[in-house]
This record gives sequence, C-alpha cells and structure tokens, in this order.
Amino acid sequence: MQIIGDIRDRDWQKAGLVMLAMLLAAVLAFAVAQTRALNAANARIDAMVQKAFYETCELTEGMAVNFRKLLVAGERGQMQALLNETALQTQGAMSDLALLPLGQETVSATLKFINQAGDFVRTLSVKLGNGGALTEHDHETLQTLSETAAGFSVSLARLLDRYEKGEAVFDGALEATGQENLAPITNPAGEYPVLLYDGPFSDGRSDGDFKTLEGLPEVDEPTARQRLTAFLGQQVRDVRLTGEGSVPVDCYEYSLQMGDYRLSAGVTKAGGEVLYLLCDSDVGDVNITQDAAVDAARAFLLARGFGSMEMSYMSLFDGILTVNFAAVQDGVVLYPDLVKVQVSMRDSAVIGLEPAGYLMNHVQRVIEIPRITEEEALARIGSALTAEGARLCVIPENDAEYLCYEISATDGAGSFLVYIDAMTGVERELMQVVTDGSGSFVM
Amino acid sequence: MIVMLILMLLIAPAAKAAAVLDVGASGADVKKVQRKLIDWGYLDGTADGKYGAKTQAAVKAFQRKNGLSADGRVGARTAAAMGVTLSGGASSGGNTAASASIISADHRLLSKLVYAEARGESYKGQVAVAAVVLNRVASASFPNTISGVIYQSGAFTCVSNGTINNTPDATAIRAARDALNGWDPTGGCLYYYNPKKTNDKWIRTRTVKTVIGNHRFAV
Repeated sequence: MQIIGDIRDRDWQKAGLVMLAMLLAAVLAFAVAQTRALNAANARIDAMVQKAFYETCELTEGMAVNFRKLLVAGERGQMQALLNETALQTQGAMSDLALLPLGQETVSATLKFINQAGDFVRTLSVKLGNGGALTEHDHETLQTLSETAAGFSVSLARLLDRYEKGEAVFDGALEATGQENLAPITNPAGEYPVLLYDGPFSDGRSDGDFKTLEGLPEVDEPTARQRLTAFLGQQVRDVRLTGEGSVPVDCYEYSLQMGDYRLSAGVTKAGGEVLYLLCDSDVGDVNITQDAAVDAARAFLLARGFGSMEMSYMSLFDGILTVNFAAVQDGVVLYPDLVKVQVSMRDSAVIGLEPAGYLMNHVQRVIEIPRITEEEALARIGSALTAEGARLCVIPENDAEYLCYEISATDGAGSFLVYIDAMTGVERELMQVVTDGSGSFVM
Repeated sequence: MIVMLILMLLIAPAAKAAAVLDVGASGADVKKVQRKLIDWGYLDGTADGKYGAKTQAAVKAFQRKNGLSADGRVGARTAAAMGVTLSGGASSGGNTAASASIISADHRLLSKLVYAEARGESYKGQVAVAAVVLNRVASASFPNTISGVIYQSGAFTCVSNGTINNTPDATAIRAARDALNGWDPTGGCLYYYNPKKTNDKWIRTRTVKTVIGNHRFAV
C-alpha cells in the first residue's frame, strides 16, 4: 500500500508539474501575443503621427514656395492654379497639425497662421475669379506669408531632425517635465499675418458688438427679473438667480419654472433684454399643427416689439418647432438680424429664444439704391439654372453686409438660392436648398 | 465657410407640398429615391432627379421585392420601406413629431461628445459644451471642422479614454442640435474645465465668462 501510495503521489506530482508547465507556457504565449498586438497597435499610432509630421513639413515647405511663386506669376490661369494648390496645402497642414500630440496650446498659434493663410488664398482666388487683380497690399501680404511659412518650415525641419535622431519630441515628455516648451519652435515667429490680414476666421462668434444695447442704461437684478417674467408673459414660479455671466455681454442668469417647463434664461444688464431662453424639459407630445406653432411664434415676437419679421427656416424635432425669423426693412430681408424661436408643439408655449443676431445687428439701415437691376441680376445666374423669383436682401459676409438679390432657382433636379450683389453684380453666395421630413435647410 | 454656416441656419424657404412621386415628377425627393435604388442595384446610371420610365421600372422591382403593391409610384409606404422621407409633409403639419433624431454625421459626433463630457450636467450645461466645440470650429486657432476639433490631439478627455464611443441619450442629441441651431449659453467661449478635476495650470489662466454646473467656461 505504502509503495503504491508513493508511486501515486509521485505521479500526481509529475502530472501537476506538467500542467503547471503547460499553464505557464500558455500564459507566456498569451503575453507574447498580447505584447505583439500592443506593439503593432503602437506602431500604427506612431506611423500616423509620423506621417502627420512629415506631411506638415512637406506642406508648409510647399506653401512657402507657392507664396513666392505667386509674387512673380504673370498669368491669371497660373495664379489660380497656384492658389488652388495652396488652399489644399493649408487644409492638409491643418488636419495634420491637429493630429500631432503636442497639446492644443502648443499648436494653436500655428493653426491660426495656416488658417488665415488659407483664408487669404481663397479670398484672392475669388477676387481673381471675379476679374479683379492683386493689389500692392496683397503682394505685401504674400511676401510676409511666404517668409513666415519658410521660417516655420525650417523650425519644423529642425524638430524633425531631432526626432529622427531618437529624441522623444512627441511623447509629451519634454512638455510634461518642463524641460522645454515646444511652442516657440512650432509657432510662426514674429510679426505674423494676423496684423496684415483679418480674415473670416480671425474672430469667433464672440467678438460681435451688440449694437442695439449700446448706450442703454444698466438695470439692477430685481428689474432684470421683472423684465424676464413680463417677457415670458405667463405664470412663472421658483425664479432663481443662478449667477452673473458675460456671454458675451454682461447678464444675469436665471432658472425658473413655467408650467411644465423648466427654463434657463439670461437677461442683459444693459437695457434688460432677454439674451437667451433654453428649455431643460422634454416636450414629446404634439397637439398643434406646425402652422399654429409658427403663428404662435410670430405673435410672440410681435407682442414684444420685434416688429416686421419674415420666417426664413423651420425644423421640427422632439415636439419642438424651431423657427428662424429675419427682420425686414422697407421690404428688404435683413438676414443678419435673426431671432430663433422654439415653440412647444404640446401647448404652443414659447420655450426657447436665441436673439443674438437681432440684438447685435438690428439698427436702421441705409439701404442704397441697387446699381444692378433685377433683370440684370437674373441674367447673371448660372446657365444651368432657371430663376423662379427674386427679392432684395442683406447678407452678412466677413463682418460686412451686402445688399443682394436673392434669386430662387432650379436646375430641374434641385432648388438653389443665388445671391447676386446688387451693387457690383458679383455672385456672392450659392446655396442648395435641401428639404427633408423635419424642415428645409441650405448647404 | 463661416458665412456658409450662418446662412445655412438662417435662409431657406418653406417646403413645398409633394404627396406621391410618379412619372413626370422631378426634384430632390426623386433624387433621394434614385440614389437608394442605385445603391441597392435596382437602377443604373446617376440620380438625375427626373422620374422617367427607368425609375418607374426600378421602383416596381423594389416594390415586388419588398412585398408592396407594384404600382411604380412612391407613396408613403414605399418611401418608408426605402427609408426615404418625402418633403411633402414638412409644411403641412399634423401630429407627427420626429423622434430624437440625428440629422447628420456632425450632429452624431457632437451628440456623442456632449454625452461623454457633460452627461449629468443640466440641459444648459450640455448645450454649452456643444457650443464650445462649434466656437472652436469658427475660431482660427482650432481646426475648421467638428471632427477636427473633437479629435484634436489632447483636446478632450473623452477621446483619450474612449468614453466618446458610448451611445448618446436623447438629451445630448437635442442639446447638440440646439447648439448647431445657434444657441450658445457661453457667448463664444473656447474652453471649459471642471476646477475639481483638472490640474492643468494653463487652462486656469483663461478668463472665465460663466459657470454652468461643474464647468467653468472661458475664452
């Protein structure tokens, strides 16, 4: 018995050892496979970053060269080709830069430079396309852009060199340990073109002045609260001041209950105007028609002194109809002076308001007499389009306003809006009207 | 670009009524139907927006394959089977509330970001986060597209930790849409941070414009 027992124990031990070895081998094999997969994944990510880096270098070098060529190009077709190529280069460089793991603070000035360079070449392209010529000032800008892009591509190349020598310029180590701030290397140095060219991307939406609020006396908090409840025109309760903000004008911010709806609101300190209304609650049910909802929105604005307005857009989602209204002066639609209203389709209550466009822009305009007649404007639209109607409007572009003929047209398959400048006859904008189940919009 | 964005939101005439599509019809709806038919191999060529005999034959084939009466006309049932919305119903109204729908790829991505970054914040706090993304798109110092801004290296934690891949709820979808429609409770802010969660010194140097829930919004 004893002997057999020994043999058995030894067998068990052996079997145990074998199993242990097998398990260990399996774990090892698994670990190796995992490491390989991880390495492969890391290599793929590295490759993406490297590609982005090499491409940024290539594209900025190309930009520098093209800007220099533009300074000497004699022929219009040649200039157009160069401008188109440069526009593509700026776009590529933008997306590559955003991929580099350098942190947004590090690359933001660079992005701005490339963005504005791209805007500038597009502006030049449109100018040439409309028969214009480059001015002395354009040449100066091109000169600066060329120098800045060249300087920038040199510093990028230096960074690339360090990277190729094995220095960890991209893993954030330099930044994190505070050894070196990469921003001066990756950012264009010195006087860069923001001073020369103030393109459409130079300001966000934040920088607009609120023309209608200028010079209005400041209201205190109780007055603002009173203005808000009067503006809503319904029984409200639980009105709470949630804070004061500057979004972007100084305002008091509230939270309140109106019937079943929890609303957030801002009231400007200057003049006590409602700056926004947002509905925290869901609506869902639909008990009224869209026409009734539009009428409710229109009546709401009229009763609050918004004056003559024309509906320009609407969309229905989740039981909330969003309607855009643009102001009208002497029959001319003022697209910059926009108010967006949200109506609950449950009970036609106005639960959302976004009047920033109106508050910023709605002042009496001097509307000039068009130098182009409606017939002339109609003759200027593309030959593939058939006009269906025209009217005068004011559209915003790069912080300026232009009086245009808005021409609705069709090519048989789709609807378009063409904006012909009423002073110069230039086609300022072309949009396709897309209609779906929720409303219509333009692209 | 920025002009296009603004105009996109403010111009557009009301939709025209169109009940059923049949031979002789033309326009965007016809194009939509044709694109579907081409995608699924019922129709050759390009979507020209003109409802002719070829389109009619393709519609009939589609109807037969899908158990619909093969009359060669695209009414409500055929349109639904194709997953196409005809514009006819848009201006007439009635008891048809669209559900929390996603309008576009941009809208989907923005909703996901809002859900990942601001779930648990108030509705206004969610609209505010979406608005920051759009303000960045409009700013020269950031990429020019919504996806460019959201996937910018190091810009949002939810991208680094993968929570952006979660499915957004109806509130996040609505908040993203309101921001796309122009609501901006931050008034143009480019940054936000949770003072309890960040140890980024740089971001604390930015000027705070408003505080919504746990987030400080700054330029």
